Amino acid sequence: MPGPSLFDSLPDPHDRDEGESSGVVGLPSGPPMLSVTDLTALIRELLESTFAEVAVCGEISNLSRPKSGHVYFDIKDEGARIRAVLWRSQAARVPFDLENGLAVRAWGGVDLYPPHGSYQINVRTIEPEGIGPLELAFRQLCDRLRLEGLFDPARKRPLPRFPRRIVVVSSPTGAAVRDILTIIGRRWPSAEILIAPAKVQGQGAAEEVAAAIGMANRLDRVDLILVGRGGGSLEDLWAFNEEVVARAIVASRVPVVSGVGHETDLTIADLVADLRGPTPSGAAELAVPDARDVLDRLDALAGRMARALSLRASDARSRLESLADRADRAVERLLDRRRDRLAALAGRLDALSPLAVLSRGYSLTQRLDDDRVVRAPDDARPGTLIRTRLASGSILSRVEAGPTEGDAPSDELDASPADAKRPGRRDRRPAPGAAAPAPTDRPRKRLAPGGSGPFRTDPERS
Amino acid sequence: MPDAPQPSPNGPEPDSPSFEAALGQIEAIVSDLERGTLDLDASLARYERGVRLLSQCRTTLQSAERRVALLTGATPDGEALTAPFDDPSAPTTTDLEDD
Repeated sequence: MPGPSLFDSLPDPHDRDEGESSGVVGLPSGPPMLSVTDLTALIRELLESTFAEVAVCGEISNLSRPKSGHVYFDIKDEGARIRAVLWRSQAARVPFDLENGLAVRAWGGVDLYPPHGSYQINVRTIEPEGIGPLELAFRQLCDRLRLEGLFDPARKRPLPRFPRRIVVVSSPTGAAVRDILTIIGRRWPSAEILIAPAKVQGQGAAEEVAAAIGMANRLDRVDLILVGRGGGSLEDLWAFNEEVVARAIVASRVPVVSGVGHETDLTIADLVADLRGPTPSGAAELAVPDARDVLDRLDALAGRMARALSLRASDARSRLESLADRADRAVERLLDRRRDRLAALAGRLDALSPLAVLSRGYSLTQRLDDDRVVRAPDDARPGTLIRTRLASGSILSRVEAGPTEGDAPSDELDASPADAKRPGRRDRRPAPGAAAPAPTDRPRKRLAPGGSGPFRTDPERS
Repeated sequence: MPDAPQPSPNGPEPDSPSFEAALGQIEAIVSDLERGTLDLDASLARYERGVRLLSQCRTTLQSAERRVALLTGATPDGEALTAPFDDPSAPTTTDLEDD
């Protein structure tokens, strides 16, 4: 309850209950009898005129914030306390949170509320003691949001590497927008930029910024939101320290890059954004890649791709070549084998040829008229024309009646090799009995070596 | 082509992926080619696709068209309502005056 000291100057220092009862009793030369209402009106007038403008410092306690939006609390020190009220309209202008135990300085006037008979200080301005109100507000919101984990790096989303559509939340006439457009235009001109206009300082700025962030989130295909404004005082930048902006950034499904003030200005928006740029320009630099770097990278990829393909193609070519080589070699080997076999067969054939026999000095005699091989004297009666085939030609002869049979000087025949070839084939033409008969079991007379024998011979080219 | 390891982020329109997806595909193609395990036909097909994607990316990067607008609202289906924006930086961005 209020301390009694305020009433020390009044004629009757007793409390109202006692005053009321003494009024009933009445005193002969006492003060005029007043109704409670009248007395209260007198007190109220005195109080409210005397204490219309007061400044008081103390500590907040008994804080209560009913739904009405008005804030009720006590301001107290070691010896006393006084009721205080902060009406809703004033409360909305206090940036920091009033809390029990907070040392404050309050300015206002003393009010008396007749129905309760109580007085209170009607606070018009309140500040924290020893710290700036905005600084305190910043600290308080920081503490609260940090406790919620909203500054947690793990909560922050990666930015798209190549944003196609960017929403810039700022004042359309501000320097920040101009800087951002310049930098994005230079580095990443293919991006589409939508400027979501918002007041960035003064009353209602925070709500506009939050609303613009919300609008950007209702659009399709937005890759990135840039929020910011140029430099200014702490008060100028204040919207970016307000909870409504922080909540809008946290709620954004699109990643947010902040760029508020100068590098030394750290705002709550910076702390909750997915990425903080030191300035609006700095935010723009971080938000988009440099197209020149990306083009260089594309060139490098194109080079690697071409090299890889040509390597792959030359691989294929050399594989093809080695296959062709192997095929060639295989065919060659096959041909070689055939050739060898052919040669072997040819050799064998050669060995079987009657001509081979001739080359060893034998001869073959045929009748000229019917090519019949002369095997017996009867085959070649005197007068018959015969041809004698030799290794190197033939001789045409006429058979004459000779001396007695049986004494032909044909010793050489006995020297014929025992392995004289059997009758064989020559050049596919059947030549039955063409080969020399075995000298041992056949009459020899007519098969004399060329040039010998009792024949008249007529050399003849064959 | 049955290119199993090739992810196609946009099923219905595989020929116009986002820049990022296109770049990712190019990178995948390059490493496929560099590994050298594909047969020649597949390598060629991959290469041709890579060349197409590269030219698409370059076209995107080199498009000179500047698109800046003032956002005035959003339709319920997510389309942007815009107004022309008098771009204060536009006249100077073609040069490097602002540096």
